[in-house]
Amino acid sequence: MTTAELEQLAEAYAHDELEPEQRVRLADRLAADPAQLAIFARGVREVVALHGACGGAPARTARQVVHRLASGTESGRRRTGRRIVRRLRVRARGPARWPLLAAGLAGLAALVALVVAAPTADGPVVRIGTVAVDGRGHGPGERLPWGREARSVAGAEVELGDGTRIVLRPGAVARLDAEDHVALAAGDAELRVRPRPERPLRLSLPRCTATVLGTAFTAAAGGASDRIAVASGRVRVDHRDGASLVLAAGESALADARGLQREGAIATTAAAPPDGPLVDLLARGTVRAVGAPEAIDDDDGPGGRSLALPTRGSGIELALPATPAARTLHVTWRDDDEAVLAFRVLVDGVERTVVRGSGTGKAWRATVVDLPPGTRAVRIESLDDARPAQDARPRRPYATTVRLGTIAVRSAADPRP
Amino acid sequence: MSEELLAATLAAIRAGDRERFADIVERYQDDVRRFLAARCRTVAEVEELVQNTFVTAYGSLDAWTGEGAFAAWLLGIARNHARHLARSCARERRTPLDRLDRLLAAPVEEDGADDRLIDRLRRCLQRLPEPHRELVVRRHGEGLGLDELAAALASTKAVLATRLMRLRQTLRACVEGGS
Repeated sequence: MTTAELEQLAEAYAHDELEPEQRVRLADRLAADPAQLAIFARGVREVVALHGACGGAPARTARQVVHRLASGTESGRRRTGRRIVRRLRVRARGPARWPLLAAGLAGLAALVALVVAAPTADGPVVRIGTVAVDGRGHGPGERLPWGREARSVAGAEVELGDGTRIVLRPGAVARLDAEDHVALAAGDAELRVRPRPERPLRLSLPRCTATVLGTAFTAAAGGASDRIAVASGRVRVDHRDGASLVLAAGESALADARGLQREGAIATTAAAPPDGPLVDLLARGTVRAVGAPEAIDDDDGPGGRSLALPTRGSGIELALPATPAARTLHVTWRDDDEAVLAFRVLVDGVERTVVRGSGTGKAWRATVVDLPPGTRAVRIESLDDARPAQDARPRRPYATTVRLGTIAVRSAADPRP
Repeated sequence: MSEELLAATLAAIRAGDRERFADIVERYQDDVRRFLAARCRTVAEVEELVQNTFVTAYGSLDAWTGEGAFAAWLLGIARNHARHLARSCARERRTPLDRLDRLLAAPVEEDGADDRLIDRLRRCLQRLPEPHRELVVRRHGEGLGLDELAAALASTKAVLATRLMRLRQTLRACVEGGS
């Protein structure tokens, strides 16, 4: 094996891209040749060091962290996780690159805004952080002029005159035209809008406009698409091509060159699992792994144990005491933009529902299955081998698992998720 | 994040507005990632421990007294996680190791050599021409696969693999030469 081949394999190893068969063959070779092992080990060390030197994808890491916080067992942590996930569900999708047309329109809009909405004494106030306008930093308590491009370097919060608060994430660029119009040119923002039916706030993004119908929501202006996710209330989203839809709490939409699409077929506002963590069921011995011994993953994170579905047929089976009352089964799982999730729920051996992940973004989702009186067993099993959603990169099984955070059984009289 | 903003953020978190923890993650993750990259065997391990560090920090935020640098406190947590992972892997309890992992499972030396390597790599990265630096960052920082990069750059996997290998050789020469 040449040095170049070894270095390429080292790169693939460091990024978890080697197939199991490749790993076995490579181990045989390296075990027999210490010199090649040294070259390989050096290559791996260099790639990992390069990862540290380059830095990761900030928004992605933040999303993953808050998802894990959201899966914690402490009730306060869950609530916090929900709030954070709402903020970050549609985090940064890379630096924005405006199409020429959008840039032209934005420039025209800025010019108009400058004319009709000159800076006044009642301009938006910086509450937290620093916002740069025309090269000058504005700190907490300072007012910003209307209609100018405002840039947040390290994150900031701005309050409009009516109490609406806009959190500009690091790197976000926005133009605050008036209390009823804000344009997000790049990056992410979270808005908590005071209901104002007579003069609703409009948020313009490169490809769409969100009209707030009294709500809290997040927005991300990305390189190829914009995204709106609603935490509470409703938002109407209008694509530049004329398409329009209204999003309710827990829903999100993606606007790109193909148009406007609602995301998430089965989505709830529950960003974090509700009560009834899997770990408790495991402790009571009512759940057993089926199909693959590694299905129940011993994760020492705050979410406790979780369920992985790495291969077709792997999953769990819940043994339930038979009761004359109907019950509901709440299943909460984390969708993932790196792996396609597909599992089914069988009640006493009969398939009752099939869940397919969207593969378009990390988010907690939930579904409810009715359990008729007398139900004794529920089985949840993978329909497919976990696989990357966006590409065909081979990954090791543990890297592609999709986890079920919570499985809870409640009486039908208490169906709250 | 300035000290003022950090103090305001921590105060807000302690006052009950804990959602601001996301700001902490974004601000300090690169520091934590650099630290862990010198102590882990794969990129996946680095990313997992970065997450573990912040999750632990979130649960222990009240334990931070405000003395010393916040980043140093976070790195202390990261160090503990790295040691815990090394011990767990040594016992093969946490993640069953295959033969290839075991061949590379030599304990990470805490002599600072890898920290210095990463510092030098950062400086050398800055000297690469922008397109080359972007390619390295997208591949090794963001973890994009060769397929994704090939599609994004209208190139082929083989060409990109070769280009990336040459860039690594360039960086290695830069690091070893100290220039």
